[in-house]
Amino acid sequence: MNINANEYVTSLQRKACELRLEVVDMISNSDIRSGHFGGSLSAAEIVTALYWHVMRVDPGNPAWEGRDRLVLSKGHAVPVVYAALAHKGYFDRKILRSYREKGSILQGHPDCLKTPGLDTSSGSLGQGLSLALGMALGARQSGLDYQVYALLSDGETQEGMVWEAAMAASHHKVSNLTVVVDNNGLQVDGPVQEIMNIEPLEDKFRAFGWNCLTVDGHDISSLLAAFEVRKSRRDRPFAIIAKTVKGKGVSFMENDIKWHCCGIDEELCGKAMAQLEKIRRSA
Amino acid sequence: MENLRDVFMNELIAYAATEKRIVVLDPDVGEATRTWNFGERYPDRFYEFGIAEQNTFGVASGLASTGCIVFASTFAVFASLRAAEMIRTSICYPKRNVKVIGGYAGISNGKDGATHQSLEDIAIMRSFANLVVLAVSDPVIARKVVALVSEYTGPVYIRMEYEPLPAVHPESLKFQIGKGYVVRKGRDLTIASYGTALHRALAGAATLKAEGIEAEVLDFPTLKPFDKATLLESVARTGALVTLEDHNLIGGLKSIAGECLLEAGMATRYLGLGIADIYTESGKTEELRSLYGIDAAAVAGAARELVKGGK
Repeated sequence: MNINANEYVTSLQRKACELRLEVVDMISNSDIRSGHFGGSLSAAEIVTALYWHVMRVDPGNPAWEGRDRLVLSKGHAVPVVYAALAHKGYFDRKILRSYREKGSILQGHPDCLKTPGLDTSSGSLGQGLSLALGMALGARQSGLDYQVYALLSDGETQEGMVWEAAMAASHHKVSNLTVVVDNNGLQVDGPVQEIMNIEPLEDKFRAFGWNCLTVDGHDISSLLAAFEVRKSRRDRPFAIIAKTVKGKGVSFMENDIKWHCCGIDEELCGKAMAQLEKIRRSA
Repeated sequence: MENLRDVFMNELIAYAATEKRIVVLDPDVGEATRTWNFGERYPDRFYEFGIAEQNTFGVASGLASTGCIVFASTFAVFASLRAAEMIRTSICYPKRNVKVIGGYAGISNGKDGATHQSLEDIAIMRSFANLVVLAVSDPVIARKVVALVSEYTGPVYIRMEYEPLPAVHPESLKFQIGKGYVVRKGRDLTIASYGTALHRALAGAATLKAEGIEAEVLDFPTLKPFDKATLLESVARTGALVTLEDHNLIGGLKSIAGECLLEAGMATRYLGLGIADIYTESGKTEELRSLYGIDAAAVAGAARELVKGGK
C-alpha cells in the first residue's frame, strides 16, 4: 500500500474515533443520559467504512432512488449511525445530544420517518436481513444498480428469521446484498457462546449459499479489503463477519456486558472521552 | 358464483397490467390464495418465499420502501399471529405501502380446524397504528378493493374468507376506505356485520321480515378507521343492535360497536354474535356456523330477543 493509501486508511481510522467520541458524548449529554454504548462502539469502523468508503449516498438527497442502502438490523447501535449521519451532513451535529429525548428526531431505536438518512426503522432484532433482502429485490424491480448492506449483531443471528432471509437471498440469487455481522461476542445476558452458541457462523452462511469471510472489524484496511473481495464476487449474497470488541476504545467498557445499555456519570464520561481522544490523536 | 379469492386475484392481475409497481409475495400458499395465477402472468413481479411468513412480511417492507406496491398473502391466522410483529414494527411503524391479504379468515377454512381458522385477526390488526383494516363481504367488494388499496398509499390489512358468494352490493357502489354501507333498510333493529357474515345477516333479515320484523343490515368493509356515523345513525333510528362476525367476540365488531355506542352516550339494546372466546373445531364451515351460533337462524333469534325485549 502506498503512502496516499495509508493516509486514506488513517483518515478513516480517525473518523471511526470521532464517531466513538460522538457516541459517548451524545449518550452522556442527553437529558436521558443513558443508551447503548457497547454495540455502538464495536461497530464504529464498520460504519465508517460503509459511509466513507463503500456506500454511494447523497446526504443532500436522502431519498435518492439510486442510493446504496443500509439496514441497521442491530438497531440499538443507532448512536454510531446517528454520529455518522451527522458527520455526513444529513442533519446538524448539535441534534446528537437529543438522543432518546422526548420530541427528538433521534429515537432510541431507528425511526426512518423521523431521522433523515435512515433507510428503515429497526430495532426488533432478527428482522433487518429480510428488510434488506426486500430492498435488494427492489433494485431488480426498478432496474437500478444499488447495493444493500445489513449490519447485524452476532446475538441476533439466534433469531430464526435471519435464516429464513439468508435462505431466500441465495434462493433468489440476490447478488446486491451484503451482510456485516458485528461479531463482538456479547449479548445482553452474557457471552454469545454461553447464552446460545451461534458458531460456526461462517459455515452457516456458506451452507445457506452465501460467500463469507471473516475479518478484524476494527482494522479499516481489513474491512476495505473485504469489501473489495465482495466487489469481485457478485455471484451471490455476501457476508462479512467482523470480529470486534464490545465497548471498543473505552477501557472500562470493553468486553463488559454492563455497558450494553446503561447510564453514565460525569466522571466516567470524562474518562471515556479522554481515552477516546487520546486514541484519535495517536491515529 | 365465483369464489372471492378468484374474483380478487383476477382483478389484481388485470389491474397490475397498468399498475406496474404491484409485486406479489407468497409463503407457500400460492394455490390457496391464487397468487400462483399472478406469478404465472407476471413471473418477474412474483416472489416465492416458502414456509416463512416472518421473512415474507419483512421482505414486503423492504420492497415497499423502494416504491413497489406489495401484496403479501397468507392465511389470516398466520399473517395476524406469526407475522404480527413484522407487520407492526416493519410495515405499520414506517408506513410501508404493503397490502396484507389474510385469506381463509374466520372459520371459512372449516375442515382444517382451529390451527388454520382466524378468530383474532381483527382484534390484533386494528390495534396497529397506521394500519387500515378491511374485510371483503362479496364479489363487488372483492373486485373493487384492488384499485382502492392500490391507490391508497400505506399499509392495509384485507380480511378474506374464501367462499363462493353472490353479489350483494351494486356494481355502482362507491367503495371508500372508512365507510360503512346500509345494505338493507329497516326500522326495528340494526344488524351490523363484516366479511361474508353479511350474507347470513341478510338471510336472517329475510326470516324476520316474514315475522313482521324489519331489520336494517349494515356492512362494514372497513373496520378501521371505523364509520361511527353510519352505525350510530342507524342504531339511533332502530334502537337495537345485533353484531355478527366470524371472529372472537373479544376485539372484533362487538367491541368496536360497543366502544362507539359508549362514546356516543347511547344506551342501546345490543347483542353480539361471534365465537365465544373458545378454540373452534373441524367441520364444514356452514355446520360450524350453526354450532357456534353465527348463522342466519342465530341472527334471527337474537333479533327476536332484542325486539321483543324492547316492546
